[in-house]
Amino acid sequence: MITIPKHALTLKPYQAGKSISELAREKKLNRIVKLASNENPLGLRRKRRPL
Amino acid sequence: MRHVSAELHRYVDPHSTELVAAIAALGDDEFLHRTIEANHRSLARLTACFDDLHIRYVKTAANFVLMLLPTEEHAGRFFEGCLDHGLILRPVKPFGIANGIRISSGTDDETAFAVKVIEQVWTDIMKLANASACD
Repeated sequence: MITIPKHALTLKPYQAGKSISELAREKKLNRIVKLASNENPLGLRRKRRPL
Repeated sequence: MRHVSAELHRYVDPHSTELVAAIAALGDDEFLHRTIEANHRSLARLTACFDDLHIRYVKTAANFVLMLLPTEEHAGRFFEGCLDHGLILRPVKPFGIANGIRISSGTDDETAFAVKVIEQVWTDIMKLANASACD
């Protein structure tokens, strides 16, 4: 049995932002743009090195 | 076991894999410079739009900008209004700023779309406020 320290119980889990698929289900929209995630708008770089 | 995994998400940041990819991408100079330019261009366009509309924001050195709306209610209505037009932004109430909405930089095309939506939604909110002030 793992016991969780009291101070840790007050931490709140990360709340993710709204997703494109979620919004697409909720509303009829021609276009959805998500500027909510701090991702690189250019996407992944083309060059990839093996890890 | 279920008990443990249910608890774990409190402590584990969900972004650890992205960090590894981000560090690897920093070694690619050409990609890095294209990214920095695209970021500056998008943020300059967005903040010019905020200046035009008299929307306050925090000066940024990142790849996003934090808008500070007059009240929490404005932020809620603005976020929902943008969703109605297909623009997803990030309310930062979970991070402790109830009147804050964060917008990340986008491609030229995404930024142009965002500016159009923001102008429309903010103008509608202000019209509504003026109309009720005249009642």
